[in-house]
Amino acid sequence: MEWLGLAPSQLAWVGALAGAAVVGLYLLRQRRRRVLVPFAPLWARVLEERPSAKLFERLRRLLSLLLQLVLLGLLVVALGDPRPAGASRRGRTTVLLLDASASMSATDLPGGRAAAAREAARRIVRAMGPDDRMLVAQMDAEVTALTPLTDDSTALETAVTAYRPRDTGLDLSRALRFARDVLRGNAHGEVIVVGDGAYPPVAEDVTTAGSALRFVGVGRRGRNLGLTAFSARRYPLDRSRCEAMVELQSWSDRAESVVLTVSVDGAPIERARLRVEPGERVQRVIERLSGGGERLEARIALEDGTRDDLSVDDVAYATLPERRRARVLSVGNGNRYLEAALLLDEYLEVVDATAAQAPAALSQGRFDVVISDGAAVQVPPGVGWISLRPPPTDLPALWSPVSSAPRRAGPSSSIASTGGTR
Amino acid sequence: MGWLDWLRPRKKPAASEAELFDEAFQRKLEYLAVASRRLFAGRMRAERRTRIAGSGIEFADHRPYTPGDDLRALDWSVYGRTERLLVKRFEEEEDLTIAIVLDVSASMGFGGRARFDHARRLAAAMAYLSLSNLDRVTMVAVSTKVVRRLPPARGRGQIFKVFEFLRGLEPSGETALSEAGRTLGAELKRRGVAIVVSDLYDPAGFERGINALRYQKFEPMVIHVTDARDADPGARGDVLLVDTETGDGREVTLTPALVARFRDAHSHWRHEVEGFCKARRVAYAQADVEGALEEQVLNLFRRSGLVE
Repeated sequence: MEWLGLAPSQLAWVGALAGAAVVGLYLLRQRRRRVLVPFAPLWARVLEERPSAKLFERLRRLLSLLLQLVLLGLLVVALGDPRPAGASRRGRTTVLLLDASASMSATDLPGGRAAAAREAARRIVRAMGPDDRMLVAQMDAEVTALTPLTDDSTALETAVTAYRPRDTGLDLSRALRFARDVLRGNAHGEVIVVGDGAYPPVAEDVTTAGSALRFVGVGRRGRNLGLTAFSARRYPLDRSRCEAMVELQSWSDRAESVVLTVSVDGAPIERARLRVEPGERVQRVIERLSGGGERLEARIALEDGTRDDLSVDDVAYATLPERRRARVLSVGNGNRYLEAALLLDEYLEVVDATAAQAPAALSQGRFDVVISDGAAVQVPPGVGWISLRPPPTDLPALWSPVSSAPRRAGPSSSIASTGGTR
Repeated sequence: MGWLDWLRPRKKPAASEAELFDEAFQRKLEYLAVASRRLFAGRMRAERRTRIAGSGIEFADHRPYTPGDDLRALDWSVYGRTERLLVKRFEEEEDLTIAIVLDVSASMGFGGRARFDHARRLAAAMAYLSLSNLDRVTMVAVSTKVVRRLPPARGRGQIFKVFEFLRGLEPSGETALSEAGRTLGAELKRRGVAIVVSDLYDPAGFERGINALRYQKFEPMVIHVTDARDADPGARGDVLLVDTETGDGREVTLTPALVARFRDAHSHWRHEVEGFCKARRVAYAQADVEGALEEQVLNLFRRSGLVE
């Protein structure tokens, strides 16, 4: 219990003085309502006949005094403006971060974790003081502010109601940086994170810059197995075939038997029964897949037919890489060794150009990689670049903020990574 | 138009007078007479007979002749039969002095002017009845002392003086009816009927006031002006009861039970007053302020013996 109004010592003084005044007035007897009667002696006759009533009237007046003192006490307490502990800092600025990662879709609680998070957030909003301001944001892979900094509790509660989990992971570091930026310059800043606590490690440079950080947990350890990785690639030496890797992890507190099914465009190609110990991570590789561009689907299901608490991580998708040759622009002055090496690789489509011809070639066609040999080339963003024997005088101009790693041919694979439950 | 207007055609009655007596009421009052159980001597003949023989026409008895008696009063027929000289005596009709004592203490003004106005109307009605019967009427307004007095007057035409007298009164002061008895006894040489119109809220006791009139050889009649609101102050809770007349206060917690007890006590007091009057053969009537004036004058007073 904290006092936002008068201090307890002040309240004691006020209570003592006011109490003394009430008792004093009581002793002095406040002026009663005057009621005129035509003949008071008749009343005297009646009143003299009932002396026993005086005791009752005295007791009644004493009760009246006690009631007045009780009411006075309540008024004095109200002057102190008592609030629950932790909700009393004057002029707080709070950033309320609601975990919107996929794990918040778990159904280990009645109504789901999202509903529990909403209720917890509403309680926090309702505990706001008259001088407090708050910003509500939901955090997943990104951070989305649902309200500005405001003291309008109605708007804040509306935002909390609108909060919905997404099928993505959580970038807590980004969320905390966001909160730090919002709270910069506020002396009484506070960051409240409402979530299930299944968070990735936070970057070391992330701090809340002096603001208090509080975590309000929702959910409980439940029964969940999830696919944490799924991708497909072509063999480096046999581009006509592919392999797919699938990884699953158990957050359950007991050993689980699951059935893993991998399908290509809806046609099952792999079905395996796996036993996964608590916390165990299991990888499985499906080899020698043919085709290109087809959709791969991996799905797990508990063998006993029940469902775990989080269903969103029970399925993952990938795509078989397209089978096409990488386009390479070779810029140089006729390095035959390099040309021979490139020609020997049948999965490369090589275009030779001089340094002067390179800009025109780059503008006419899309290349996956540019290999420059002793020549300076301005490589557009998104194109891989390998530089052999760069000219010394042109080095500063050549460096650009693009990656020098060659881009792998074919469409990228999608990988479901959802963190998991606590 | 009432006959009073006909008597005084040049002066129309004021609104208050019209309220006191409307035309129908005036006609009814003509047939009523003030009752009196005693006969009093009077200087003028009126419609009441004395036991003293006089020049009336109603035979009373005989007495022996003495020198100096009027020879016309000798009863010759008796002399013829018995040879005794006897003088015939007749009952003489004389007028009656009626003093109307109106209580003008502060309690008569309690709860608005309804009680006081009603008392004034009653006093005016009694005065009118008395004047109509050729009685001599005097009006006395009394609180702690005789505040104002209207000299004895006779004849219906004097009713307007009565109205003027009543209009000039205001309720104030404490009640002391005994003082009225003493003053009347000292100022009125002739005794008669004293009609007390009062709420009888006399701190010294209503008995003293009535007895004072009796001891002064008056025949008191009591018109007890009552108001049901006197028995319930209307308020509840912690109050300061203040006497209208004395201003004395008393702190009381008014509960429904206490109010009920007071109501009983008030009723008992009224019966006490009535019993006191009956025991002393004092004509008594209660006149509630909510009651119809005509009803009270024509019926209630007749039942109580105030009027014949």
